[in-house]
Amino acid sequence: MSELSFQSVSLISAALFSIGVYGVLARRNLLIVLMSVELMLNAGNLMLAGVARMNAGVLGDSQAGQVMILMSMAVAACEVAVGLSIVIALFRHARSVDVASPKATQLKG
Amino acid sequence: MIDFILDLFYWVFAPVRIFWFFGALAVGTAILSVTRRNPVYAAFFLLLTLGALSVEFLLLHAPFIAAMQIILYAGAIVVLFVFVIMLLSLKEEELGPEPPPLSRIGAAAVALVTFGLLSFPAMVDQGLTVKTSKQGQFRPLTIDVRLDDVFHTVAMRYGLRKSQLTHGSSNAAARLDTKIEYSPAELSARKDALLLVQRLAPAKMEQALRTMLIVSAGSKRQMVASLESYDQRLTLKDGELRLSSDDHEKDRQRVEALTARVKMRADRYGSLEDFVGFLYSRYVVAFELVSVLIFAAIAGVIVLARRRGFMGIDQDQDGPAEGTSPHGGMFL
Repeated sequence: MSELSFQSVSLISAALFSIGVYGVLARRNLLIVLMSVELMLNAGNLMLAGVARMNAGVLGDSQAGQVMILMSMAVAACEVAVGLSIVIALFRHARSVDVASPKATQLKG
Repeated sequence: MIDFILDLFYWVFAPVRIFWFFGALAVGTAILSVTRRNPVYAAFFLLLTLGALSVEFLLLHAPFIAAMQIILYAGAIVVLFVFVIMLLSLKEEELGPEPPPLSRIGAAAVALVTFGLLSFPAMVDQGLTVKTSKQGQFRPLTIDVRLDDVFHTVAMRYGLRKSQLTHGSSNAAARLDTKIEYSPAELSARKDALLLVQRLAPAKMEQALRTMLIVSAGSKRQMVASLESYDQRLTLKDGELRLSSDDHEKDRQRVEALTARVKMRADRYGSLEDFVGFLYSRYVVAFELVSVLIFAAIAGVIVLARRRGFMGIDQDQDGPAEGTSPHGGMFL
């Protein structure tokens, strides 16, 4: 591919997203699970930027993708803040950041 | 020699190579990030991934997003991660055991299937990726647009067909009708032109449309109509719309000025001005709702982070007595 193409953007985005999926599924450290979720959000952002660029000058609303990236960044910031405070709450309760530790698996509600 | 060096420079630093370099960097550091046992290393590799992605955003004409990526992700989110890691100061046993190999293999299989499904549209050519130009390449942001292209496209777009040209000359109508049969490539270029002008000045486009209808319904030879918004006159001559002023130099300048404006608009794609224009007009409600979300998150974090018995709240709950924590400390 000699020119920047939508395919290359979607390839990199897909790779990052699946790495995030691996991290969420395989890791038991809650901190790293949160980082993997961040990776997946970023893969989504990259795809949005690619689609916005693809529609540049074609649709009347070609910046919608970039605006949506800003929204998703705000959501990511909220998610990290809440997620990390859950990490601290879990650590207080279970003395571990392992999501499968005996005390963490007793959590209900 | 110097030419060779320059050629090499431009070859090496072509946007597509920079894109692939930082894309590979992002993917590589992401893999390292999710496989590190020490969360500090994971956070630093995540930082590299996010930095590489910000270069990708720059290359996709999203400079504001690239800046936000660095400010928000590197400056806030990763710092927050590092802060929490340092606050917990985890010991080896507190990290928990490594997952068994079987679950890793299972997760890797699921991730591979995800990758396959997500990259499938990228692999098959054209069928699923709509509206890309040849080979899915991004179309150039500057589009050469001529005024008569725009008016022909208006005619085409609003279905200015023979049946609608009731009063006009069947002759001219027929010419117009044949004139607006374009090849798919031409059609696409002209649609781009129309949509660019629509974005530039929707009201003017509306007036252009009305003028077209007047022109089409006009008398046989004198198909002249005034187009107030452009402050000039148009003539339908030999099936083509032309600026009718005798001053051809002036006409040419006007057309060039319009073209330049349309081009400028295309060049501005992704600029902060354009971006904020969208954010504060069309998406202002969503933008405000995000602030509500952030407020809710702050409230949630305060509730979660509150310590039992801290400052007299929930003093007689059955939580573990504070101060007995092996970590001691103010927060834990």
